[in-house]
Amino acid sequence: MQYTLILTETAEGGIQVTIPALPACRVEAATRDDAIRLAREAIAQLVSRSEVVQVDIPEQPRATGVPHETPWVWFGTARADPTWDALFDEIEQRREATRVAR
Amino acid sequence: MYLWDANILRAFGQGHASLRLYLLRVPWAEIALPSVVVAEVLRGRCEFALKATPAEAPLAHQRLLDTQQMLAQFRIVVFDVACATVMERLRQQHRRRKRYADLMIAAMVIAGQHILVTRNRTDFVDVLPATQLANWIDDPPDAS
Repeated sequence: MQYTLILTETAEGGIQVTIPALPACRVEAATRDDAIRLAREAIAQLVSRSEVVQVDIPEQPRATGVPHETPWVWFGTARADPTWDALFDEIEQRREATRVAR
Repeated sequence: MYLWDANILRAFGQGHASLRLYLLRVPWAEIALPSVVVAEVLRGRCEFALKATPAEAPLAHQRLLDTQQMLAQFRIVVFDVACATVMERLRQQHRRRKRYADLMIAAMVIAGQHILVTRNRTDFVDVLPATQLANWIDDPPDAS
């Protein structure tokens, strides 16, 4: 398995390694080569002690974005927009057209 | 849920006074748009944006985005398989006299046991029971 390592130079001139897939696993070393070697060892050690378990959570997350309170900020926003009335006039005409067609 | 017909969404955009009184009383969580109305509104806005002349296009595209954001404020009830089953029955009963979108909306109201909010009682009165029809524009809340 491949892991992505992020090597970041520290203020002291050393190299810090973070591993996005294993956020708890961090190492630091004086050189780039040492940092990669230590990271490799740390990952191997952590993985040898770990088990991967996947769980199903049947409950769906609640819909996001839909407000709980009346969105008054949108109420009346089309008052000065003539295209708003035209839009709904057209919807009405299109519905009416289906009365005969079907 | 209170399912809004297109004419109630229109009144929402217009800031209608009677609708405002209902909105002060009815929790927003009990209000939804049928996916049929969402489709009609987006179709209108999309066609406006795609057929606009170069001079009209900036306005038309802005209106499309504004409308999309307004629709995102609403819960949406989807026309599902249960609605389709009711719709088939309604079409057999009312085929020649009814408008297609009205029948779709009525099927959603029946299948989900919702209440339809519309100004257009005429087209629904023989499809839905009176208890599942409301007019938040022409019937002030105090009178109901």
